[in-house]
Amino acid sequence: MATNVANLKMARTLFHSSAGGYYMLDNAAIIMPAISDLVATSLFRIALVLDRPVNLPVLQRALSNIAPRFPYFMVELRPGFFWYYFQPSRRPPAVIADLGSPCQGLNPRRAKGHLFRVRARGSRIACEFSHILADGYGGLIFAKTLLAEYFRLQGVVSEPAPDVFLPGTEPNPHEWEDAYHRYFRENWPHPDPRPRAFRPPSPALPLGQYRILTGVFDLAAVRQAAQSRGATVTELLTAALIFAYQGIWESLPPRARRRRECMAAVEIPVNMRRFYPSRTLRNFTLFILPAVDLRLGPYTFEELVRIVHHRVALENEEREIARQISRNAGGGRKLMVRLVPLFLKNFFARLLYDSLGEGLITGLLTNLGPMTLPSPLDERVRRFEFIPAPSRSLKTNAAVCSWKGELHVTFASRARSREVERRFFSVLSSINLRARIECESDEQAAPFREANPLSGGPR
Amino acid sequence: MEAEKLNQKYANAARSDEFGPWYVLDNAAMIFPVMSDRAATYMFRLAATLDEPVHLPSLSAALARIAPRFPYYMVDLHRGFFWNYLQPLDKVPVPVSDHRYPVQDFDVRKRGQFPFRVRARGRRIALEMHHVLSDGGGALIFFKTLLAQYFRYRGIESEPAPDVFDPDGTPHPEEYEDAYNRFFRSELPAPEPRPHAFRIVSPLLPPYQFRVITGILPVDKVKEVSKSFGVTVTELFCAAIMDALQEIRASYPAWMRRKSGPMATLEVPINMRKIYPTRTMRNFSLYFMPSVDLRLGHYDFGEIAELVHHRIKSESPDREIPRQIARNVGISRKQYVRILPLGIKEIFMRLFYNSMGKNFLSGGVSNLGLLTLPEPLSSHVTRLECLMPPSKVTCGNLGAVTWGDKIYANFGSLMKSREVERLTFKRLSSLGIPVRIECNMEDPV
Repeated sequence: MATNVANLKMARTLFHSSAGGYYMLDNAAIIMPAISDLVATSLFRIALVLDRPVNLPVLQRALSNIAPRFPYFMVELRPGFFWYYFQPSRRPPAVIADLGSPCQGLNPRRAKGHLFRVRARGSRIACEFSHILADGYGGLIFAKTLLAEYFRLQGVVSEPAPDVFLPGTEPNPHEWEDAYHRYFRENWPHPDPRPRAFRPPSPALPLGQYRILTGVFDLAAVRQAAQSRGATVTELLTAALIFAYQGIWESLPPRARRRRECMAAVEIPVNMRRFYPSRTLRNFTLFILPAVDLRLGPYTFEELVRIVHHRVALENEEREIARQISRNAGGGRKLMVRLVPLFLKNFFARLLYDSLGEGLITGLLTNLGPMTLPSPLDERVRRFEFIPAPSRSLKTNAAVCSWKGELHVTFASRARSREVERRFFSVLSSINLRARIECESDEQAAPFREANPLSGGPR
Repeated sequence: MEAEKLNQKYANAARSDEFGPWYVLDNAAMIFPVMSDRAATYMFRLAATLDEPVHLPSLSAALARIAPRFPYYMVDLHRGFFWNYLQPLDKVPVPVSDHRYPVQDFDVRKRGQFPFRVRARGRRIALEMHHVLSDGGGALIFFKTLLAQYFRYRGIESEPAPDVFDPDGTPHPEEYEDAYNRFFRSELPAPEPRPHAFRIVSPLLPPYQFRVITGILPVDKVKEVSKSFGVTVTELFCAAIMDALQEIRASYPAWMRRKSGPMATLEVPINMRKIYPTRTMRNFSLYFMPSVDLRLGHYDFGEIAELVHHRIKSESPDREIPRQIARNVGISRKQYVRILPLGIKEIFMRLFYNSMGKNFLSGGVSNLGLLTLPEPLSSHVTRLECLMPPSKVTCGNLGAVTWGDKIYANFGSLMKSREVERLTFKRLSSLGIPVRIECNMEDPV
């Protein structure tokens, strides 16, 4: 674990100039302004559904109270000559209504204002964060702190918890460090090149629409099904997702199949705080990418679970994932790269992001695991909701979390077609994991119907 | 249907013309005459130690008796204009005396000799077979049939068994088919390219010296240890060799490490007869290639074992492995490859083999597993061993056989350095496996 002086220097993100303090973007975020726009807003969402309607004035007060505890989130994005940077915002954060599709309608590059939003409607409080600002871990701490403060103002004091910050306390400087640079390793090999991935073809929904479809499973049943196959829940769900992609691939005519890419690769983000101790609330996530070559199929579901299990085990190791840090952070340190003006950087960032990032991925499945809240807040929250950020080319992505014995798999999609979702849930129902499906969509389409599981498989 | 007919046509290895019958080499065998020389012979060996000294007249008689049952082995290698081929050799094979250095000093391209030899000395009978004829799966049947016939002449009759042929039987045409061509699927993609492998740097032994280090391990203890890591015995051996390679690489200076390939990759043959139904007695094996990236810091033994396990299990033998057939057979069927004269083919074969085969291997583990002989022969055989073909570039080629309650693990090497062998057995004994070491040269490890 090499934390040498250069790494500590590079991990610093807060700087001071004559005009006041400013923050650097972390290593994962520097690429994001270039690739985000009104379609790929980079916003992900953490929503909490309470057991009673939200009291808006109280929520607004709670937000104002906790804002000083998160100075590194109260910022606006500004382009510099060489890099984007965050400038502390003078605007107070405000709660807005939760109308329309989630995670839409913000272009982080052009936005004048915060890169996060707190929204409320009915009994739901939703925090939408731009990935430029934080990853799921950071967003979750913010949401929990907001919730605790909201209830404290109503006289419900929660027990202290490490992931619920107290308003009024001093922020720890490590909370805005760039942990990628802190744990950078010199001379570590870069990741191996990977083939481009298959994409299920579908026209996109109109701009501003983001279809959310949630399947609610019984957590114990899913765990049991995974354990009986010697896999984890994430691996089981990943295999189901790959099975869905395989079904779509197999249903294409052979000519189209030959022309298309043939790897079904599911990106599973990994919280790097698991491997490296860091308090950072900025991004500190990398990913593993179990992939299956669809030309060798069709695979049975059980086979896919086994393959995914072994492939995940091979990649889910500190030394393998560190190779991504070595590439990403190493690139940002090169003098040649640093001297390039921002508009050129943006141009190259788009190229690289496609060839090294999104181009290799069929879809994303992020599992945030079991949610926790200190008592007595846990009794007041009926449900946690996670919605992954929309992306231009990965139209359908999934987020998973579990709360109170239920496992929620949320598919967020920009695609008109619901094939991925349909095949995913139908293969799981064929192994007796039946989900309650809920869909929120602006689309005036036929309601989602669970298909016959037998038609979900490959022909 | 069309493809199936074509596969059948290519799989048929027996041909005949005005000069008489001849056999086409199978797809894997085509490369071996090109790559082999007198030291790296591409011969592998099966050896049995009996409970009494070998009776040579009986062995000669037994060999002559079973020879007609294996007409496809009673051949010699000829050079054609386009391809090498095998032509029946009108001779009776005779056993020769065994030597301290096995599988050495043999030139398969010399005419008038069989590409295999049966050797005997003291209480040991050995079969050395060139890979151009067959792999371990075919040779084992030949060897068992020979042993059964030998014992029959010694007055010990054995029960019939499916892997012991009746000397009076007629050979089934499937026995000399090219199963690679038969089970070729053109739609499969070629395997992914692999990074270069780490090789140890060592001078070679003097010509025609071949060091064999045998480790004798109790099978129950080995099983117990591999179970404690959640891996198979083969995977345990792989991990021990990779661990040895890791230590050797760490002892090299930085510039040598930078120059060497990054991966410890082992070749683990799989008998494809278990996956595809064929009776072929020619080559029909393919390879798992578990690897560990040695640039990524030091691994504990448990970590390596786990990695090897996941690597092998993530490649399913009925999906990933046939891609090797798709590549190898696919190339050999190309029209522009077939019309090249043999001399030019050989140049390309060397290039191809170096870039796609040899360069990404650090060694190999061939575990034949538990071998059986029909009763009552097994009580007369005290020991059964196998030996992988010698190689001038890879070190750590392990051939293992379980016989009775012991595993006989043979390392064959043309290199002076004994580090891989020493560290591998040191690792195994540090895991609590008692290892007895034997060596065919002085000052064993």
